[in-house]
Amino acid sequence: MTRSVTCGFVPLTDAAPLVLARELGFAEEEGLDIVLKKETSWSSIRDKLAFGIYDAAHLLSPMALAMSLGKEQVDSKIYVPMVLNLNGNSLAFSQRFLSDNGAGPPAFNAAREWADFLIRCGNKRPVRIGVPFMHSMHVALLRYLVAQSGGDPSRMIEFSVAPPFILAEVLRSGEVDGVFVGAPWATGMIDDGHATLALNGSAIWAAAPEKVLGVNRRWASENADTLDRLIRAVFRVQLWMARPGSLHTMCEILAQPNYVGTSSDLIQQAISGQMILDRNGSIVTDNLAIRFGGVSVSFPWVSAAQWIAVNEAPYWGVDCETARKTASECFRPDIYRRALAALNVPMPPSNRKLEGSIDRPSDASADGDLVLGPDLFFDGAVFEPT
Amino acid sequence: MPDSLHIVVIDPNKQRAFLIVDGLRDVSDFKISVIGETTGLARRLASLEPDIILIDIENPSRDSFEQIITALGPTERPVAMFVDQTDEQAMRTAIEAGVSAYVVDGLRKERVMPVLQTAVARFHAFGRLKAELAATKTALAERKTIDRAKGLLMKARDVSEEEAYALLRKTAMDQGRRVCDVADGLVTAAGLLR
Repeated sequence: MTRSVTCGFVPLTDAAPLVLARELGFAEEEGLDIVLKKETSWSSIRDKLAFGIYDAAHLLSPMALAMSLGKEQVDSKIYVPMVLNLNGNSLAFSQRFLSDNGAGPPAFNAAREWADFLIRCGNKRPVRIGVPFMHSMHVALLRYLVAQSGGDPSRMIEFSVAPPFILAEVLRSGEVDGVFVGAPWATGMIDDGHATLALNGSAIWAAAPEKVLGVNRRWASENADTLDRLIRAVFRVQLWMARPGSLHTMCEILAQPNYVGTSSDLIQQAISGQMILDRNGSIVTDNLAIRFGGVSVSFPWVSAAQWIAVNEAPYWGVDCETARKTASECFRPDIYRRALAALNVPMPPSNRKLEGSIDRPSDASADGDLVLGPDLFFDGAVFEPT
Repeated sequence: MPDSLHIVVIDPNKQRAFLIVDGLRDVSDFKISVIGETTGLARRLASLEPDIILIDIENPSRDSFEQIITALGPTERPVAMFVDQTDEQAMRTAIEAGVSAYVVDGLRKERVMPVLQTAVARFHAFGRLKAELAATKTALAERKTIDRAKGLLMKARDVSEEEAYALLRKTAMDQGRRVCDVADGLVTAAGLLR
């Protein structure tokens, strides 16, 4: 019997694991029919997930926490049994803003220098940054960057929300000075000559859980077996995606109009880590620009959820301890472990790690078979979970 | 006594907006404003001071809109999405129809529900109209194709219009296809052979 899972997504590169699970037959092998529904707003995904019209969704990790904390327009307890990707956002500024603000801009991915630049500009007037949503990694990372560099994010940055594929227009019209947006949409603006790439989210936190698989809690409890199949299908896609020969096929499928709907060249940039910097066409390398892969990527670390919750709590108007507790209930490594038990993949010994303590790929499992990638913060901080 | 509720309908689709306004007029003597464009939304919303805002769930500007109303939040009239946790089915129906309602703080559920229900009914009606229009358009296009195929047959085989149609229909039945699909194939092939 084929089980059906209805799943919402927003046209972005990191919807890839869900799209490919369907397109490449990984879902079918698990006896699953993933029905994909393209959405133009995160609000719409939120409402449909909350009311069970969708069983699962491509979700911003902070949004899953905000929903569970009752800080969204519709509150609903959401489970996050796996992470879809780490990183994937790029901060880019309009040519006009950069030329108005003095001599040569800082080097690509030089996070501290860009933070100083933001603070310097933000002292004159708030820097207007377009983001896809307020409860997002984009906002959390930018606030962290400015705050840890001695600035006041609330005063120095003015966020303006628009869907990722519309942000290019918002930037061109001069309504914002820069955008912090997920792949491939920043690349498109740079390619058009309207923007210059400043840094990727990876330069602020090398292992930020960007999009997650968010599931309706009631659906998850009543359909545990189906959920496990979904996790396995997406997990196996992720392994396939991390293989060197997969890049071209993956980008071609994603580029189709019913998915991301843009050129596959643009999609390829972040995934390959070779990104166009500015209108002169120079190429920069960032191998952490967007990370897909096995357990090292998709494991839903409670510690990472806590980092987001604790850092955003003051802005959301919740106390740190409530935020921390909800984060620990929302991210569900136990479900992840349960679903993947049959595959015998090496798992980390704990559901928490010291975030910001791995500077090069390191062994993490008890038997040394699991390699975790770097997870440093730009300021060298180490976050201790509880 | 006239109902003093001020309702704002945000919808770039004029036809649908009119349908909703019409429907609401039948319910009560509301004050209704329609916003078609989303540029300058913050300023317009602040000046209109609505009690209820209706917006299409699929509107791509909804995330921007939510940020705007959250930013208006600290004023004396905070607005939030209307969610009736006690009637999940009604909420599902509204979301499936594509309606979301945002209401000012403190507005009672009994005053919101008739507005929401009317909007849902009008969204459904609009959906039906659109489907009917699409069906009519398809039917017209199909008839044109069949007419062209008949013409081609009449000329090539020197038969009457009735005979040409009978031939198309027989071929369709033999092959288990629709008459218009057979006609379409014939028209395409004739184009290629020309």
